[in-house]
Amino acid sequence: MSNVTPAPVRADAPAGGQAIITIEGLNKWFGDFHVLRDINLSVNQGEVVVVIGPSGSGKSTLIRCINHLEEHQEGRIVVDGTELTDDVRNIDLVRRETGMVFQSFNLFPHLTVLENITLAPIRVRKWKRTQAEERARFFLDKVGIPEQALKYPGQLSGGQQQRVAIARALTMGPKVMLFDEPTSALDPEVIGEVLEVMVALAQEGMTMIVVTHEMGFAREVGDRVIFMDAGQIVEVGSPEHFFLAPREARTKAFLSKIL
Amino acid sequence: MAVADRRPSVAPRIPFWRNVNTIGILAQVVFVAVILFGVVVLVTNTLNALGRANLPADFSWLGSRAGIPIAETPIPYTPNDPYWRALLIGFLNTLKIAGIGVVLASLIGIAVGVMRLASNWLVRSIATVYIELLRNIPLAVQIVFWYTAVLLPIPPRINNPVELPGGVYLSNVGLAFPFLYPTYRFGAWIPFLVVAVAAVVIGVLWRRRLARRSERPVRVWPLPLLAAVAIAGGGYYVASLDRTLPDGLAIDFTIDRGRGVVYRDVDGDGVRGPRDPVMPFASTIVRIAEAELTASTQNITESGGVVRSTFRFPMILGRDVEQAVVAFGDPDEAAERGLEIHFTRFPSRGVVFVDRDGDGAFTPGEEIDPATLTGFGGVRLVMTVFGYERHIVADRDGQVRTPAFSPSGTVRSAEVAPAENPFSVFGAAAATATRDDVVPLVADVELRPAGPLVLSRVHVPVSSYEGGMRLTVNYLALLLALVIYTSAFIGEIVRGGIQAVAKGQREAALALGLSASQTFSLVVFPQALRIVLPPVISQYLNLTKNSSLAPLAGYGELFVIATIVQNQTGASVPVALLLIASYLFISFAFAFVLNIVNDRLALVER
Repeated sequence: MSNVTPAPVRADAPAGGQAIITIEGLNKWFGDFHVLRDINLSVNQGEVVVVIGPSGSGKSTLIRCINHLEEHQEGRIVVDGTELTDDVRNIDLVRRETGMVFQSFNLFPHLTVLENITLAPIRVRKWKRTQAEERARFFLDKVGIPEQALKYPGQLSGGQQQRVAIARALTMGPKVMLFDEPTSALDPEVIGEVLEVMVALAQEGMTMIVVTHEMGFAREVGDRVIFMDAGQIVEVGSPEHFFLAPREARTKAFLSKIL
Repeated sequence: MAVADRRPSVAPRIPFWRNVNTIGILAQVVFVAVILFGVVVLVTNTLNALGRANLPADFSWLGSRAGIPIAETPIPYTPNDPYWRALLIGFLNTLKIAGIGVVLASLIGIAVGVMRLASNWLVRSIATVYIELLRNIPLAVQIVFWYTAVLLPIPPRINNPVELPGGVYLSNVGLAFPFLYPTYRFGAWIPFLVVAVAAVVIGVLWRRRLARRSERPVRVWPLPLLAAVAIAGGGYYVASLDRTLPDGLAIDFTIDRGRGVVYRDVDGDGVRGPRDPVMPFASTIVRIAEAELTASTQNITESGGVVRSTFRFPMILGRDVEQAVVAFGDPDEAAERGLEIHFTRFPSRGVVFVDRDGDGAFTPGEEIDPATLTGFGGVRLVMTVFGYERHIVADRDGQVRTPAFSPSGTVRSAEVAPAENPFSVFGAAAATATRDDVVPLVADVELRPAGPLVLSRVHVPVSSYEGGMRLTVNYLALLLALVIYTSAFIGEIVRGGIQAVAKGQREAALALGLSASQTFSLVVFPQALRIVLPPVISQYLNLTKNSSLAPLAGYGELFVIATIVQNQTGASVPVALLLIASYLFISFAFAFVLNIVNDRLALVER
């Protein structure tokens, strides 16, 4: 496989910005399988980076490495000045500053919406309950479902659940938000409500890395699009670049399938 | 409407033997008839057979004298009590083993289940071995193992029990530990307890209502529980305020025998008559200014054909006496033989030895006479005790026991001092006084006012435990086997439950910055609990039913006693029915309570 893959592409953040995530020479294996190959990526504060690529290309694994849900074997990952090493303190520090939204929502079914959101602020940030609830309600309001606070996740629709998940991540006050295919498990008619929230978030200046196939979202708020295939970054460019003039054959083949 | 239109035109033409409705009813009628017939045949046959064999088929024998001695009785019982009471003891003993067994098995099971998923290889392997080993050995074998291979041979004899921290004693008789018992004052506390329970119920209902209406979450439990504790605590204080003893409360104590009975002098004649009821759990103090205890050296530990000479006085602890002096009963003879005393536990235990190597201290081996390889047996020792004072809580039968004392000064005490006394807490312990006059033995026995509860501590005055809560080795063996066996199954269930919680739950919690332990206790475990509960309930029921293997450990629970009752009365069918009913009752009670818990825990879905 490696003999056919060309040299990796660097995905450096535009000069002049302040890099909040820096990934250098990242390599990761699942057993013998080489999932991530020589990833070089940096993201500036306030930037929205959209990662696309066929399934199995390693894009989810890449962003899961950023908050250490996956352990990397080679290379450096630095988030907001903290390098991810085997030090539990560093890992906790990074996780506190990065929010993550999952494809399958992963709300805690035994807790109410409000408890889902306030759990981490109270336990990790040591906020008072009233303060945590106030912030939680602020973000619930922001994602448009203030009336669902005392319900259980099982009583909400998929779109509502994903918006709760976003509010849950935001209440911790993260500096970076990671989205792992946030709309892939949703019914088509509710995808819009989740994307709206994400667009609003991007426009407020949140640093975001979004793994998604929603090219509309990429075009609207994406600063850069990264195309990955077979564990490598194949092509980097603005959304317009990808829509109008993709360079690589693999990119063209992929885009022709999803657009 | 469409259905109603079509039906009448078709229905009248079906013959009844092809009509689904008629077939259904007919089948049920036939089925019930067959069952009824079977029951009638069975019952009449059984009754006839029992009648012919002249065996009781009713329950009239329940009231006759049982005459069954039972070692472990949670409520007062003598062999003179009727059969129903013997069976009740058995039932309570079953509850005692099932109730405690279920709690312990759950705790160990959860720990083992969690350990099986540990990232540490050693921890994981230990848990795996624990589960695989214990799950695959039959329970009966395990009971026999714990009883005959561990608990009978390994703990020290009762005359030399191990004292564990907290006043807990372990020996081959069993485990004894301090326990709180209700006194005669307990009745005054009951109203407060009732109010406290009511406060919890009403408080929780009120807080629930509040929680439903309030926009903000309300903590339901803390306030009502706090109120209940305050009410119960205040009630305890109020109930303790009355420091008078109940009318006619008296103690009949014979100091020479070291025992007495607390009773209530109903007829007021100042003497304990047969109509005066005993008073359990009264608090007493026995004080003796000066008295003596005697003991002979005994050769009780034997190993490798060598018999050692140890002595032991009834267990007196340093805190019981102001001063204690142990000396030879016949100092002249002891001096002639060169005997000396070495304490292993001052002042009640030690060995008699001859200082052959002349180092002035006891060296192992010196307690044995090299000529005979036996100890210096039969040497009489006298312990003179000054300022003995012991606080004794009467047991369930009103019994108060102390070591048996004798009047002091009957024997000339000697100049032989302990050669070495590492446990001396009284400074110089050498006895030099020589007295020939006898001091008459006077005991000051006092009944003390008590609060609603009294702490009964364990004493070992003779070769048995007194006071506290006592568990026999039979009970411990059965409990250990049931708990360990069941915990292996619960461990596997817990492991499965934890693994059944979606992986994303753990990841989401970690991504939010929760630590590994927070993730487990706040997110994974609460969800695993919901998955685990139904199979665990069935393990609880298994444990309860498996307690009927008690005969293997000689523990007198329901099955054991029922078997004896059946042998004595021949009432095989009634006893079997009682047994079935009792086990069903326990199982249903368990299932009822835990199913409610299960429903309450269920996740809210759309």
